[in-house]
Amino acid sequence: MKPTKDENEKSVDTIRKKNLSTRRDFLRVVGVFAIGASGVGMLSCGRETSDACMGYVLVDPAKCQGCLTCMVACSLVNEGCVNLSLSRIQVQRDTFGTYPNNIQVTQCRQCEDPKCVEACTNGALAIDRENGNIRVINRNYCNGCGRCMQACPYVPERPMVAPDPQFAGTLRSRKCDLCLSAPYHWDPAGGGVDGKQACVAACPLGAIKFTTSMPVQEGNDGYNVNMRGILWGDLGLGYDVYMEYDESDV
Amino acid sequence: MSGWVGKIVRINLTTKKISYINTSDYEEWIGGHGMGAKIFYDIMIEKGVDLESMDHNSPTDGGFSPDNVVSIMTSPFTGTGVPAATGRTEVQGMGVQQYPIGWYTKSLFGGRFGPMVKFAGYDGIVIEGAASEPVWIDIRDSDINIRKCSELGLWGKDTVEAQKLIWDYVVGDEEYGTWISPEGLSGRTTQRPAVLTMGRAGENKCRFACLIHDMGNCAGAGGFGAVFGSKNLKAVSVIGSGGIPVADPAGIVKERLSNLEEYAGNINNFTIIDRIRGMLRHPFLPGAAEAYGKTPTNWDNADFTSSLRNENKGPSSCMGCYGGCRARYQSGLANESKCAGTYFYAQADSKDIMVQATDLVNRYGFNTFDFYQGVPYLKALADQGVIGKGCEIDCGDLDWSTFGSIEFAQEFLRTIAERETEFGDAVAEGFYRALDRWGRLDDIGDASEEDMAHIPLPYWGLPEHHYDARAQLDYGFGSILGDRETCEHYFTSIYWDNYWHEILYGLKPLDANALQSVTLTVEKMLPHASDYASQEEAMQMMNYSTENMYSEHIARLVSWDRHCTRFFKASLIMCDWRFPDIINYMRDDKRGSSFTSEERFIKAVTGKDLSYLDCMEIGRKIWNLDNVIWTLQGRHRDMVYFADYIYRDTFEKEWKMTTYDASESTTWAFRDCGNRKLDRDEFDNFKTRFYAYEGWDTKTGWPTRSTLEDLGLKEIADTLESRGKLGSN
Repeated sequence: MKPTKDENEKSVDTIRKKNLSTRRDFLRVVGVFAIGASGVGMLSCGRETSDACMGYVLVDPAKCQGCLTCMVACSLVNEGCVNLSLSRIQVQRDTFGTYPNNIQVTQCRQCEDPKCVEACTNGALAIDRENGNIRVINRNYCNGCGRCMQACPYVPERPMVAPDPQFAGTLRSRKCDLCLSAPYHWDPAGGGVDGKQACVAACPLGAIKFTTSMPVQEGNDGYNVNMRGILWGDLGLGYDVYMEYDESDV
Repeated sequence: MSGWVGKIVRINLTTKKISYINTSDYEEWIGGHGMGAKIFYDIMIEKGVDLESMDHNSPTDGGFSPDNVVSIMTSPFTGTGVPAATGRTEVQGMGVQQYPIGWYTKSLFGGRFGPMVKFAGYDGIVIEGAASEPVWIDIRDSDINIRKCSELGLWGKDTVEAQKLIWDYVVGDEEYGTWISPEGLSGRTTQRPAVLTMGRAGENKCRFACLIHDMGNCAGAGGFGAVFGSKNLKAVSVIGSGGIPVADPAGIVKERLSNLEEYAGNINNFTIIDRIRGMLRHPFLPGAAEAYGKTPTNWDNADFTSSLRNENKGPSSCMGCYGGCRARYQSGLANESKCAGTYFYAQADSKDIMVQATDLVNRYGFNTFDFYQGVPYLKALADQGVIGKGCEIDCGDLDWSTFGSIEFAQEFLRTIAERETEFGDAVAEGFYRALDRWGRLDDIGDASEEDMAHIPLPYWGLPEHHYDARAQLDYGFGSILGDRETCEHYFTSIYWDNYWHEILYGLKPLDANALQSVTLTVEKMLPHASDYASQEEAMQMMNYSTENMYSEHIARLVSWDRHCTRFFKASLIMCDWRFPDIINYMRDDKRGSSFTSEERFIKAVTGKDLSYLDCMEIGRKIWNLDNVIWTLQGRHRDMVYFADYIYRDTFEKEWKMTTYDASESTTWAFRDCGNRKLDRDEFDNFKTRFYAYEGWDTKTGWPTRSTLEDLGLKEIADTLESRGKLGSN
């Protein structure tokens, strides 16, 4: 049985407290160095532990219509062009396949234990404590080595290394930061855990949502949730699964 | 450049030469149809092709000639996130389906092919010549290869098998969902190649063979599947890993979101009325309510994309669309098929058989609309003993007593696609040519329940598409004055609004009544409305009454529709089901987003300040270029007439359109415009008014120097003059 929203929030609070405590212990041992970037303080960490992120993107592949608008929007706001290969969220659609298995949506999980952050030896990947503990990349410090990609335990791996025009075409990594640093964000208030995420906003069917509750980390069930609802089922869509719909999920 | 990616690839299948055209050389033609038509014209002039001498009944000439150039073009909007325009692509070239001449024509399809062409670095693909053996084109970013079909055994495969073989070849053993970087790709992607292919119908040059992309995206009109067949071209596969530059990325997202909020219904919180409205194809409504809900009962037998298809399903859309109007199914059969794509076997014994038959017809690669009209006709001939084994029209072992079964559908499609028997070979030539061969041209006309042995082929030998020229004037007149049945539905949507509200649901009064429909529409019909003395007079453009049907008002209506659609639907390639958004039921004032929304998207994508009136002028230029090409193909006003039955027989249906009657208290109302026929002489007079309004020669219908020069097309006027084809002012 899924935890309720309240239970989830409680569990996240517990995790936050636990991690903060661990972090204090960790800092006492190894010290800390701050990375100043555009006035935003970031801490390099992740070698032993990390703080839980305060925001997550959830998806419902059974509701998704495969329009790839989330990918288009993601690359527009983050890269300034449309490029599916640089979208932080990936939708793979097998037009010849059978419902509901013919669409797969994969997004960065902002892992509780982010292997990408842990793998970065240049201080480019970090947990941004000033901004809800989002797992972020500072491309100024990235050398495009690809360790973050290799470390990501999921398929397809979420960080992506590609030539970056802002750095003379040299390789740089990208990953989802919930649109925190999106240079072409449409909303003056911007993204991040307190702002708007392009994929969530752009999805015309409401098949992507943002939550502050940390999903169950094991497996995909925590990240792939039912967002269809009674009306959706009434249309004859996804009728075998909409009955499991939980109002607290939306 | 923003919106465009910079170059168009030109592939000569005869010489195997691959060259490139700078998109900037054609930027003034925008994209899609405009760009394709100008490239076609330039290549015809460059190669000195004599279009007029072509024999369009020959299996090797006309559209089947290696001289035919097929272009597959995108637009600045393709791939960029502009709603209902991101995923669409237009195919252009000489058609093989029309009679007597395969006019230069177009066919559009959705999906993700166009975006992938741009991700690979091209604004379009131009194909000329013909290969000496079956080939397919393999595009991976800048790496382009013309490969033999024999390596994969592609020739002979159906459209699904062919695409799967190509996917496997390009992607190799990589599992679905992983990042892939096939040889030749500059970067990596999680996507599969986008493939445009044809089936056995195309390989055997059936004149109504279509092109298929993924499962349900079909370029049906014109017979481009057969044109591919004549070029020995099985498929074009594209996979790209690049990007599309845009002028204002944040602006695109902002405009898209504001459109969704202001003009669309909310798919997660809708009422029963919203659902009905959704069926009416109103713009920007997320389409699940439209396509997967309870479609109108009169479609029960024809369209199984409704809840009537009794299996689990989810939504499906073209790339970048707000409202996916298709579905994906638990069985995977006929995924993405909808509307006319499901009409092939409406008389099947069960819905399950309709589903299977739709899947099958797409695998063979036929334009289903020909069958929608043609199958009941053929069945009637079989019932009369005209078609059958050893009968006047010998169909071999095709057993009509099993009609309605899936076995019959399989045999029927195979017989035609393989051109087996006299019957199959004749039907493969398209229904007009088949009737001609059988000496049955008199069968062209309205079928009725009492006498089904008729088939409506009103213009250019093409099957009627619901919208009869005797009632739906914009559609019928626009089709005969153009190259194909227009398949452009803005004005017909006004008809359907009324029909569904009043007839099916008994909802009165209409949300947008006749006066409101006319007022809202005419407000947008600039510049054609601007030189009327008053708004009231301009509104006569929407008066479909018998008294007004041949007037200059209707000439202006048809002209506006041609210019508008040539730009927005054919060249910017905005989806016909969503644009223009003029009457919008989601808003209290019923005012839709067109055309200020389009202007803002053009600015955000390209950085250009193109006003709506600028767009209309470019649309006029493209429409004129089409007429230049048709003129070079041999068109003359004397050829521009409907099939005899349109003038002879009454269209016996009630068809309510907006009409004005000064003698009634409600001057503007939805009144019956069916139950009438056209007058041959009056329609001829209408042509004179139309040509005069367009600035064309009223004696010939040819473009004139003054009109062409006004459009900046002096060189084209010179060319026409040198060929004795320039009209007199």
